[in-house]
Amino acid sequence: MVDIPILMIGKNVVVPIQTELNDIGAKKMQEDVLYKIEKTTASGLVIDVSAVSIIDSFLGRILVDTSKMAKLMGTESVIVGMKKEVVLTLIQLGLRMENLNTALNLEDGLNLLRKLQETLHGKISG
Amino acid sequence: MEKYQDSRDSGQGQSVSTTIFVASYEDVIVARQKVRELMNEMKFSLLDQTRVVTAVSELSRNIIVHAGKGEMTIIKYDESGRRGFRCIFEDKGPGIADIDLAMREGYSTTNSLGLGLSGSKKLCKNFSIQSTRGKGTRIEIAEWK
Amino acid sequence: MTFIGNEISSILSKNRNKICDSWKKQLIIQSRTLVELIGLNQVEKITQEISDSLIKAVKTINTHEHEDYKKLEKQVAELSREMSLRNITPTETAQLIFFIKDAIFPILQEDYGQNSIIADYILFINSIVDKLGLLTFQIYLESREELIKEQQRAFMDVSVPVVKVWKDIVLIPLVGMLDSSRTQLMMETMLSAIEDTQSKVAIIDISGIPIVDSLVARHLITAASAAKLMGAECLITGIRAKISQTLVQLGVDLSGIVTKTTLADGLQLALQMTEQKLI
Repeated sequence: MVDIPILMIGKNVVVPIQTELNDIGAKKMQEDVLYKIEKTTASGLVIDVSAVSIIDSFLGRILVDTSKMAKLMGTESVIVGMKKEVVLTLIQLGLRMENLNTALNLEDGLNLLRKLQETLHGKISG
Repeated sequence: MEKYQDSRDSGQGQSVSTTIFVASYEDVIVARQKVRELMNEMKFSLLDQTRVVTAVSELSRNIIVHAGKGEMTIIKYDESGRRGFRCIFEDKGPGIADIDLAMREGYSTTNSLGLGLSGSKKLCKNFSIQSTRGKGTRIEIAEWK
Repeated sequence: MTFIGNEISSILSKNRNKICDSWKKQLIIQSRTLVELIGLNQVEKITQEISDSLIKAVKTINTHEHEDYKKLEKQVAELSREMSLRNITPTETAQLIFFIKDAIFPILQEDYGQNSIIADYILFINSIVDKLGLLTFQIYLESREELIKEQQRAFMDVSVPVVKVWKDIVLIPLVGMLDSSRTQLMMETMLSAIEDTQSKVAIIDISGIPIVDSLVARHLITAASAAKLMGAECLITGIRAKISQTLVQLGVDLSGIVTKTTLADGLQLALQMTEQKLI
């Protein structure tokens, strides 16, 4: 199985999913990402799904859960680059991903993270 | 069920069938790729491909989760007046006690989201399911151009 | 010529099981794809139901009270509609009917092979079955025509324009009714526009939708969540007083979506969201 690359851009963990993941691979990605957050105390997480052609209920749940888990560890996350076919399919499938942060692309994702962190920071200092 | 499927192997029918075994999560990926290839070759739109391959993913995963192993058969039809394919997912697992309940969105026996069956049905225009307790489950989807 | 319907009916009735069985066998041999597609159980059901109706119908076919024949016609029409839905070709459906002859004629041959009346019997059955076969074709054509008309109507209805009104902002002005198939097309068009232009905000303007009920609201929520999944924000504008009243009275919750009364307000907000200003 090919490992999913997990990169650091500034203080953010960036995960570009480039291969078709099976369920075990998806679980492993979740573990690896959370471990990376723990080790680096990253402030943000971006999962780039622009190369992912299928998101079914399992992978969808992994994405939502990973995001929730990261949040518990104090890390905001953003899913970026979801293809329109994938979006329409997820909607039809009935998978709800309401509380997920999303952005069009990696750049927008990183910008959104910055804003979220500023808001959070504002709350603390204000 | 009576067997009349032999006709498609005799070379006289206009359909071509392929069967793949589904016994591991890697096989789910193979099943997805097979259907994707076929749909691509038959020039289904990218949205149709995504929709159906997602359902294939759900249904072949169901085989592994509930029965351990089973098979997927793709039967392709390419003749005037009828172009498309059927996909049959069969296992000899425990079967489903209450199909209506199992088809309900959010119902799950394995702590999943419960979207496998209900979701696949929503994704596929033609969806049928037969299941006998203790004997297994057979789900068929079909896509026509 | 004296009416022979009664005699034929009793011959058929006596051989009913034989006819059904041999009809089914014909289909398995000659119409493999059909049997494969609709399943053997269904084939069995069809052959039995139609055989039974035919046996009844031939008795009274020449009288004014040919209710049984009307019933048979209705049954065949229904069958034709069902077959076309299941992607059975019209030829196959017609053949399905015609093969009953191959089941009936050998039986007549067996019992009346030496008798000259067999010619009348065969003509009699032939004319009825041929009519039924043609009926399946006619029904098929009618349903096709219906479909084409429906598609034309739908095509007129569903055209959804998308306008890129500003950098990072696309507008979808909706006019007319919003049903589920049009919602699907609207979402596809909107998502394509978002993807192509990498726009961060999509404004759906519903000023041109006459009635917004809970179903339409649900479609709008779906569209908004689709835009959100892609990573764009979705604003809905054109919520008039009447609409807002209806929605609240219906108990529809749109609180997850940003809504505005006028398109102008929506555009202003969109500019703010994308950190742009009108100069």
